[in-house]
Amino acid sequence: MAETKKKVHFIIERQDGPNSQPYTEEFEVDYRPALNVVASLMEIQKNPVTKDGKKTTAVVWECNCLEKVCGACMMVINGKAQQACAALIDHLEQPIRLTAARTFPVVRDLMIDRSVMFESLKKIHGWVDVDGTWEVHNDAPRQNPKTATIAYEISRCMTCGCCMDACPNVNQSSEFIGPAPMAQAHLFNLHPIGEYQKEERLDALMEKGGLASCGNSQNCVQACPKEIKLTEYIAKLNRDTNKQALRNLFNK
Amino acid sequence: MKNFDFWIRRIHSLSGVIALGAFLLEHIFTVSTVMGGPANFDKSVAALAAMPFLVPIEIIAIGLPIAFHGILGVVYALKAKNNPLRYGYWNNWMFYLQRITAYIAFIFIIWHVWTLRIVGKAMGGHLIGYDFMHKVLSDPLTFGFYVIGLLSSVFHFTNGLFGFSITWGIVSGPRGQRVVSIATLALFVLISSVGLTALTHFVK
Ligand code: SF4
Ligand code: SF4
Ligand code: FES
Repeated sequence: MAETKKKVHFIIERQDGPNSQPYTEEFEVDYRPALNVVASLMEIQKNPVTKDGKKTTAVVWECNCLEKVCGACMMVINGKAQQACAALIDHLEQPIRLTAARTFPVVRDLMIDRSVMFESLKKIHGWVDVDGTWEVHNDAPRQNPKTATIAYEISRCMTCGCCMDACPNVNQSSEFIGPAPMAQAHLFNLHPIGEYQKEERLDALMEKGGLASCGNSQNCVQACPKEIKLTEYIAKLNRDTNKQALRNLFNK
Repeated sequence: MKNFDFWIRRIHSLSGVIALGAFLLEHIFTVSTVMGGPANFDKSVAALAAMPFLVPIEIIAIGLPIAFHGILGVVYALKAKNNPLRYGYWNNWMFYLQRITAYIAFIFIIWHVWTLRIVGKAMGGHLIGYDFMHKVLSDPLTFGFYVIGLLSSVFHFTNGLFGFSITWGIVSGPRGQRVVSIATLALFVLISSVGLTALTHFVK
């Protein structure tokens, strides 16, 4: 019975408020099969005692769906931005280092404020205009099933921000809106009714901090937990914006 | 102007390939005539010097685009948070190297133009030719800086072609991008070997 329990060792970067200094604390959590980072954080929350037995405050983080769908639990785990709910301990090297994704403003500990992404979705007109006051089509709009497959892929974006954290050109000193909102612009441009606002979206992407700020490092496509082919859509958007820029130059 | 920032970035990309890239190729080509012997090199230098409207062409077609591309490029590059140690992917290293080689090439080109074209030719009246270059490059430190400057400039150009092909929407799919990436790497090896071989001919 004196068998020592296997432990999981965490080094967590903490921060008490948006403007406070970060510091680290270490924790140990009992190992169990299929344990993931969110479940470990829940254990720490139940008993917020550091590795050296010091009582501390519970570590703050965000999560909702626990199945890699909502996007909320994004944090930097061993240097890479990913979803904590899908990060299995068995796949991680110990000690496991958790930090907030500092590309975004930190609210507290591992909790960040991703609202910049939602603001960008507003900028790029990330929706389809159907207000019901006018007839859009007599029949339901059609979409080529091949296009629909691409649209489905992009529509799974959960605004988690992994791609944003990985992107070298997204940071607090740059205006770049980053890969996720750009891919969303492409999604709505593919839609048979959304297409009506394609020009507005492309114009928005040509503003300062738009598409042209991408430096082709291609980290985003590697980081995306939903395997959205971001760089491919960025290249397609390059093609579209180049044409639109020429149209704006010569047709207006 | 509408789409101002977009156009500036696009012209930045165009200037890199059309003005700077073309000049780099021409320059390496001219320099590599040294492989045919010192007299051959002196002949091609003299032919260039005899070009009509040389100074305006140098300023408008080469000097200004370099200044534009270089200064704006530094402004853009300084905004990046480089993270190849966290995200050690091939393309991210290339992104990082693209910026490092840009800084090196920027300094090298200023020094190269200053010492040879401005102080050397325009002010000092040195005869730029094999003898002079032989003297300059016989200093091992200078030679080393030339090697680094050459490799950086060529890398920045060839790897820049990869970005160019995406920026202009020429390739979009992963296979196409991989092909371009390999092709630009091969081009790097090719052009830099020509350049390096030419350099060694100056100290023979
Ligand atoms: S390809 Fe562009 S958007 Fe994607 S990570 Fe690199 S710079 Fe950012
Ligand atoms: S594109 Fe991928 S990584 Fe980026 S926010 Fe959407 S799901 Fe997350
Ligand atoms: S909790 Fe929703 S993605 Fe992790």
